[in-house]
Amino acid sequence: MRDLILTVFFLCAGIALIYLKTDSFQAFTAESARRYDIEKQPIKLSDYQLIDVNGEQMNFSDLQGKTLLIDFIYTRCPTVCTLLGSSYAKLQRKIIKDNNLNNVALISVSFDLTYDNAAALKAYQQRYTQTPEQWYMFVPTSKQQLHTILNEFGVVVIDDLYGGFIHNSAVHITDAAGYLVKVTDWQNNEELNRAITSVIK
Amino acid sequence: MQLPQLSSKWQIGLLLSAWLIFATLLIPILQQSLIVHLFIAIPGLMFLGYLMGRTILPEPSTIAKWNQTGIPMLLMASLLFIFWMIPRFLDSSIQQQSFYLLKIFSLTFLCGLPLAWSLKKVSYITLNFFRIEFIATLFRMTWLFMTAKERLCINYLYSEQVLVGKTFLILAILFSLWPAIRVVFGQHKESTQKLKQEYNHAK
Repeated sequence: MRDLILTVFFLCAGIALIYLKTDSFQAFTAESARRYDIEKQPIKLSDYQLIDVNGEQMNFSDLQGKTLLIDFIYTRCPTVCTLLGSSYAKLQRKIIKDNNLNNVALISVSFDLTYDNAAALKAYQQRYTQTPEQWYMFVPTSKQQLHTILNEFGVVVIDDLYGGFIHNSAVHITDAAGYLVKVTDWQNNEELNRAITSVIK
Repeated sequence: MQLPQLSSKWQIGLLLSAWLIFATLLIPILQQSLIVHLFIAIPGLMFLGYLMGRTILPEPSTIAKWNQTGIPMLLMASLLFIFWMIPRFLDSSIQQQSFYLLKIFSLTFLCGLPLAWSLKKVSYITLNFFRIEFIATLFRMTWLFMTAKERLCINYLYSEQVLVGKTFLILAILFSLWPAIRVVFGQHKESTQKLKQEYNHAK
């Protein structure tokens, strides 16, 4: 009898533990957990110090008041970032044309402090678009700044064993008040559009 | 399994220091690779707990009263094992200190240790039920790791994930074949005897 009680207890406790720790069976991977958490509780982002394509230092808060679509890149990236770059160029054309999206800006932040500087960022951007309008490129001013940014966004960058990096690539949307409110896939246009409209409203 | 006879002081010192070295110094290195994390680090922690259960930490009588059939503790160990197979918690155990500590303690003392206490006691039928469930879980993991289009763990590469899927498949096949190998090579006598005993006992 005691065995039965304890068995039932462990079964319930085990299921309850997994239920609670996976956000009601919704997030079984760290990436889905990150997205779920941010949507449930938007994150107030710090004021990072960044360097833009002209080599000028600026603060993240200078962009407050805009809806930002932030992605993380490194300019030497041969795979995902290239796709992300052209996808951003397409998005840029769209937000320039669409008057409802006047207050939206695209942000690409490089996490490769060793190789990426203002010139590298500029060259990267020019590969995809002729105008920098509504598309800002940045590199953090220091390792510490980068660490804070990646930490707050929940982005993990690892070596790909070939001198490059692999990271959880997604579009991070912040609202006008500077809160990170949504993380979405950049490959899925419909989902991205839906996410942008929901944040603008 | 016959374990070497050492004086109890030696056993306690050896096993505890082995666990300490493994859990604090080796695990951070082993978990840099997904395949080593899953197939050496986690089973290693469990194995050390199992060894402790067989030697220096026999089942306390209060727990034994609640674990007469061996099923409760075996179930707890299984559920914890499943918990640590969820990709999210593998990531957490690398990124968060609290999850890391939870991992090394739970896999040794709440998974490996109770396994040692329970495996001696469980009936042959229960044991095989858990065996089949274990093999099924290996196949489930194969399916998960080989079909996922994206990275399941943000701390590991996709290529390694596919390799892990294949390793799960090989293990699942080996574990499934094991009973067949035993039957073919004559171990079946023991099994039938055990089954007969249980049958008579049940009657």
